[in-house]
Amino acid sequence: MGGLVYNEISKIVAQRRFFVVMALLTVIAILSALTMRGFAGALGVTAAQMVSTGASGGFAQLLFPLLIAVIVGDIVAGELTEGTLKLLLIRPVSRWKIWLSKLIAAFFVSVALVCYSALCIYVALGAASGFGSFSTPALAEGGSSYAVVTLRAYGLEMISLLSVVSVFLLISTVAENGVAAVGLCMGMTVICSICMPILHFFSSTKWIEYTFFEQWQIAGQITNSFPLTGWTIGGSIAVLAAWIVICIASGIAIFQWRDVKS
Amino acid sequence: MSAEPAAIDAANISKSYGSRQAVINVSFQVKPGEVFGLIGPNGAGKTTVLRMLVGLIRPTSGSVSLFGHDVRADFENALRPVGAIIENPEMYKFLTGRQNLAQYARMRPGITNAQIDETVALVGLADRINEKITRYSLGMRQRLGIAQAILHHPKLLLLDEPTNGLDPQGIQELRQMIRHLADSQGMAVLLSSHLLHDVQTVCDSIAIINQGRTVASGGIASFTQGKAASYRFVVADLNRAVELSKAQKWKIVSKDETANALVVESDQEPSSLNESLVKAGIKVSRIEGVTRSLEDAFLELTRGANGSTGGLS
Ligand SMILES: Nc1ncnc2c1ncn2[C@@H]1O[C@H](COP(=O)(O)OP(=O)(O)O)[C@@H](O)[C@H]1O
Ligand SMILES: [Mg+2]
Repeated sequence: MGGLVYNEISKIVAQRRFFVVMALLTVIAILSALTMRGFAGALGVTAAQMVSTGASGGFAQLLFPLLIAVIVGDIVAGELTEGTLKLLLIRPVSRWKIWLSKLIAAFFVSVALVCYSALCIYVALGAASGFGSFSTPALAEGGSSYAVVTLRAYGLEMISLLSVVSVFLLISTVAENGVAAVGLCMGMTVICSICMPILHFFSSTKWIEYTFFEQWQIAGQITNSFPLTGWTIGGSIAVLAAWIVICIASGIAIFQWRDVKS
Repeated sequence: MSAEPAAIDAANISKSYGSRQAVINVSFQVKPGEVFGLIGPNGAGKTTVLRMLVGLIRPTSGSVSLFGHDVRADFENALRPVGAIIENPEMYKFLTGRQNLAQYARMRPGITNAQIDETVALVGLADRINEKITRYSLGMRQRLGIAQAILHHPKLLLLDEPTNGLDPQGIQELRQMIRHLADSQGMAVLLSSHLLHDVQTVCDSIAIINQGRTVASGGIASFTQGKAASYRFVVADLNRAVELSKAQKWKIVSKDETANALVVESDQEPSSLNESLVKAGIKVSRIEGVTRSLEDAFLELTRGANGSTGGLS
């Protein structure tokens, strides 16, 4: 499996758009760090205290998914469109292994992307308003040090990322065309971000809270910015885990059985 | 000698794309070390057969085993000794030739860098292998496609129209390489082509496929023997000779006005026609037997209901 995952990662990072996305992320992270600066200055907080917020809110729900969609949205469909899938599938490697290696590679790259974003925020904010210390106790977040808070927030963000790539790989497996797959992943994310608040406003039904989109903000549970009330961390993890299992199982099932004609 | 399983055993495979039947009840076997040609005009179903052989698509009915391993039930073992090109060998445009080969090398245990170098040299890409493949010509991509197929020294090589994009010298080299691999390494090879002369010199046996059905198969020799014999008559009066031959129930295969020659075909003895011609006062200066070419057999067999012999050059 190691060789397969290495292959998939090397294909992602060899494409120019990976660097375009990383450059874009750098700019966005620095700009948001600078907007946080006013806020940080007023409260007298440092980069070490603010960096955990980079795992929640719009970062977790919109920015990361959109960037990940650009990088890995076509990881299956693109190979079908380009015709490279057939040379990949005639090796003595079962299709489910290839699919899983694509998922793992997409996850690794997403984790790297989010860690890089955290680093950008930390450095930009630190340069602007001081780096501060990770050993300061985080009083508003339960009293453990900011090191622990930051690690817990980004740890939960990893679960969020796994569900993001699972959903996107399923979309990429169903789509017949690489560009369409990227568009579908991005479109779904944007439409959710527009529709979910409206649905919340007009309806009190609880099902909306069980969508993967709402739970992508799971790290907000650590930084007191989780938008849903009455949810425990365990509950959010369970919902995301269920989505991950459903997407992986159906993605593999479809990939395993489909005819590859192009 | 123990009974070695066939390199390919395709048993009654059929495939429909929606309502279109692309392949209908095709069966054939390829022995280890044998070079086998799958020949038919464009749209005959060759690529569809190859896709089923390597498990890219599942047959609507029938089954395929490679070296005794069922492709559906035991995919990894069935595909382990196989290398293939199915249609155009598309590879990753953002990688170099070598990086592409390295991708496939990592999917099998034990392929060394030396093995990659050796394969690259064999297909004649050594000086261009570190370039991105967007800069490759069609012929170079075809060579790289062959490289990925033979990298791991397969026991069975499947090549779908491998001469596409190659120049005449490349085609010649490919033929020699295939024959060499088959003879020196005992590699079984299945070649598909819409051009009979592309494959007839390298193949031990062939199957001719048309409109999804195998219309004939067997050793190369069997196609040129056992059929009605043809004879070439050189005569003094071509037009009268043609009429007389027709009257005697000989089939006119061709006539050549400049040489005053006609080629006729029948189960009858040529001496009977000669006698009739001479009796009618038409001087016959020469009679010779004409071996029926494989090309003639091919054309005849693929002259389908819709007359589609397109693609023959
Ligand atoms: N992906 C596909 N979808 C629908 N029909 C197809 C597809 N691929 C091939 N066909 C049809 O199946 C028949 C056989 O095609 P193919 O196997 O590609 O023939 P060949 O390789 O001999 O040219 C043709 O009639 C072709 O139009
Ligand atoms: Mg074809």
